[in-house]
Amino acid sequence: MIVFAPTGAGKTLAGFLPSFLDIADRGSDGTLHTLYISPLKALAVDVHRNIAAPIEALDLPVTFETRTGDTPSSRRQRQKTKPPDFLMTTPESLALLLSYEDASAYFAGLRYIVIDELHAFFDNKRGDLLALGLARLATLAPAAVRVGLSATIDKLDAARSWLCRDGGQIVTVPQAVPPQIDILQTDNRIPWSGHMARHALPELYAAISDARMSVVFVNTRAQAEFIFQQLWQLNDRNLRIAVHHGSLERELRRKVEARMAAGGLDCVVATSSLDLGLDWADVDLVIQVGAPKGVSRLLQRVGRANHRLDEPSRAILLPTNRFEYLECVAAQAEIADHNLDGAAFRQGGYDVLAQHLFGVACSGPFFADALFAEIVTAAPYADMTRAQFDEILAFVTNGGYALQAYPQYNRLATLKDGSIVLREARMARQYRMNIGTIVESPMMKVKLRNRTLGSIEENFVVNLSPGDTFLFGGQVLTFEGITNAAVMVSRGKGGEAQIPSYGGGRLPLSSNLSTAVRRLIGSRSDWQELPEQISDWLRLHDDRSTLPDNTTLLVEIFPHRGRYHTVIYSFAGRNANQTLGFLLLRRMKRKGLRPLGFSMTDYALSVWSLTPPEDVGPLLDPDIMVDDFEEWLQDTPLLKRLFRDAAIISGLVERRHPGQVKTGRQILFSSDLIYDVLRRHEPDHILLQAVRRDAMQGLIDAGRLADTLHQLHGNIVCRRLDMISPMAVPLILQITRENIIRSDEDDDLLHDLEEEVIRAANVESIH
Amino acid sequence: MDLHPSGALYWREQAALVVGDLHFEKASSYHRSGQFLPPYDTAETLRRLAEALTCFAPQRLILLGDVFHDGAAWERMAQADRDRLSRIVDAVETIWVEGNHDAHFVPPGQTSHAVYRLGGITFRHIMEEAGDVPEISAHYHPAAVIRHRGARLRRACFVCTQHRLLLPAFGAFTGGLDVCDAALAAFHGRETQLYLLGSKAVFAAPQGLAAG
Repeated sequence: MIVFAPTGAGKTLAGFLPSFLDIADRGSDGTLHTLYISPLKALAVDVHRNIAAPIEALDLPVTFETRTGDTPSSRRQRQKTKPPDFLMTTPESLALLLSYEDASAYFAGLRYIVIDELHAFFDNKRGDLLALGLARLATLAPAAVRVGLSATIDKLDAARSWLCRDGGQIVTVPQAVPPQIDILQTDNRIPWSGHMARHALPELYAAISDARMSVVFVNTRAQAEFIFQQLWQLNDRNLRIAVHHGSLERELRRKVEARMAAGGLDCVVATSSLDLGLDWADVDLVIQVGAPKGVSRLLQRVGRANHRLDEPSRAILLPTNRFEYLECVAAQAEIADHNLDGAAFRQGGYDVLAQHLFGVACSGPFFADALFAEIVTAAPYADMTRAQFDEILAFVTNGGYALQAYPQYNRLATLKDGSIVLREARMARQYRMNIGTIVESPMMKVKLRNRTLGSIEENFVVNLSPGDTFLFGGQVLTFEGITNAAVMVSRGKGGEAQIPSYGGGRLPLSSNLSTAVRRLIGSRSDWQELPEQISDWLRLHDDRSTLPDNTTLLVEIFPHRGRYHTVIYSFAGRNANQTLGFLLLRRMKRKGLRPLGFSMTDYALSVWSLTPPEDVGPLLDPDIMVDDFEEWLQDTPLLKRLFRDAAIISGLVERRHPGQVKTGRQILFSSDLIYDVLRRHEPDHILLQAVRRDAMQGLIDAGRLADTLHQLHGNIVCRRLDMISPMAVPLILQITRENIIRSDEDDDLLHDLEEEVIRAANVESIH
Repeated sequence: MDLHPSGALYWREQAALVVGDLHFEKASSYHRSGQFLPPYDTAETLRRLAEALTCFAPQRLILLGDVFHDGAAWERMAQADRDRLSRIVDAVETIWVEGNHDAHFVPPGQTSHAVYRLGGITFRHIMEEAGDVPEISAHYHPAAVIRHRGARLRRACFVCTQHRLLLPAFGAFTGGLDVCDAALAAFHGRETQLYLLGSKAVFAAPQGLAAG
């Protein structure tokens, strides 16, 4: 069953109602009765707090507890032997519980499974893991009913078939009052590019001063750090402003959450760490800084304000540049029309399945036939063939290599009756240390003398030299060095800091919103809602070039600083644009155009070359997705990056845990070395297939790129200009800040470095 | 002497190719504990060795220790890999220097040296810190980090002082030890020269990278 209701309608409580009724009827029998699963640990904690009141009011004889990675081990031990009636947990903790030998007894009495924020599981590997866990539960507790909760699902039927085994009901609660969403007005010039909202900080401060309690949502941690710090500099009214993001120490985050709940704060600057359904007490205003990127995502954030159904949620959008302004206006219109983004359902990851199969083996003997039958009931794996399944099972057993010599070391063994068992019990421990699908860049603790401030990506730290300053937790810190695997810092002495540029986490613009943005650009009558500087910008572009719209693919070619820029307004999202950039580099090189690099946004792509292309038609022919694509895929470092994750998720290499110190001699294997060797010696290995599959769906976004090229190929409008066009300015400005070639092509970087080394040492290379 | 981007050293006057720390069958040594790393490191290392041999066509091959990851590695090697290794060592005069991983172990029919001397140079697996007799050794898998325009690159390297030369590890799955590590304190000085392995060439690093 799916309960689809706007935020504030009380759907979490509704999700628990059947459990309340059932347990009031039958009483507790000392086994687990209801499992509540949420995508966020904090949400599990929050819901635990919120159902306490009705349970007490109804005087229900139930025990209810949370269990997440943060739960103390003593309580986890007790929960194993003496489970509560209701358990609030995460997909990872569920996987862990399922891997114990007594899992079948533990879950045998389960009656209800409540899955909160259901939409958050459709398009990622955590969802794959959850779907596999649910398939397992269906075997262990066939009577258990699944209840999914969400406020933002577009394709309800597809969501139902993801969640429900047979049929299933959809309960829809209509939105009583539509949200009131405005765009923050400013007299200042709206920047061409950039994401830091420098142009409207006083207006932002005024908006939060007028609100009782506001949440300022941003898209990146770097934005959170910057805006938090800037707001404090403007804070002459002494507002209580806090910051909340994923790399802050857990204790600090909990403190912020508790102060919010108690009404002890006026404003919190937050990333997606506060995105999902936390019922924060009295937020009356949400401010979204930067592009919403998707209608559903925006709606989710807006829903954080005002949990009363009969009053509108109030939100203010603060676009940080001109394209974002268009995006915000388009999003406003889409929300008014109830036009949500289609959830992207994905094909399940092979690496996640490998992890799950090993988990099943840890819980006890199984039969391959029965397990396969169970796996294909999980929606992401519905299309899996038995041959694929067997290959993954072989991978779990012994790596599944064509060259295989030592069956005595296999992790799984087949008994006479055909059942498959774990060869050594100690391997279960190893498995449990590695559960989960989220692989972050290894984190290092940030320490100010003896105090831990939080953690930061190792990849960021390795680029720091002692004396460098950076923003963290809202303060400027000076990097002193690394001691005992911790980043030692001192307080910076004011001034400009080098802001952490955390990688990843950048969502591409949804196709739905992308269409809406192009519609807005193409519809002059709607421009009256735009501020003059934005409509002037569009008009100027129309004078100098042509406006991109939904039916044509605008391409501009113009000289700029000794290079020719070919700008393609695909509106296909940053991932697809990046892929197209790499492909065009190859194709243009072959045609002798001497391309030098590219930059991209969600909206457009610019490739620059020494010679301009004669005819862009053949350059953008959809056949680029066949020959050039295959060639490029062979040696793109993007796959190497995905392989790092897949190697950990699948259990090929062990996960590094925070604080784990590398010994002098590296014991841990570099997954990059493994990738290179495996690709040369067994290019069709299942793990390489897994990585390709993942890449196609996400990072490379091949489907969306192919669709865009096919749709627009016959309708290319090519404009040759004497100079840069108004809409191309953001792309050209971006080049100086973020050279995509440098950050994504390791080989090119290496080459550059090597040359630098030669120059620095003033020697020729030695053979 | 020629430094090869594979990590091999070629001594022209003696027509000797020197490689260290091949660590054959390192991946399969992990299979025992249930970590099934791709068992192709031996084949890959042999491929690189054959390439280096083709490149220099030496008369001598000096294997500078830890050729095998452990004493049982020879037994675990695929027959095809064993045959390839045998063909290589039969084709040139091969000198086996003992390592710490494969101490006293050489394939049937071969003999090993704890220390080997040739043309005034001492070859041993683990360097002797004192003394001014020129010495070439391996063992430490040296690697260095370079920072450049906000990016960072880590590469295996040759480490060179007046009397000492350390070879990088030659094996496909061998990790590296940072030259700044205390274990390499003997090399922490301005006169130390590092040569970093690029993909197709070896590059002299700016001096001063090897500091404690």
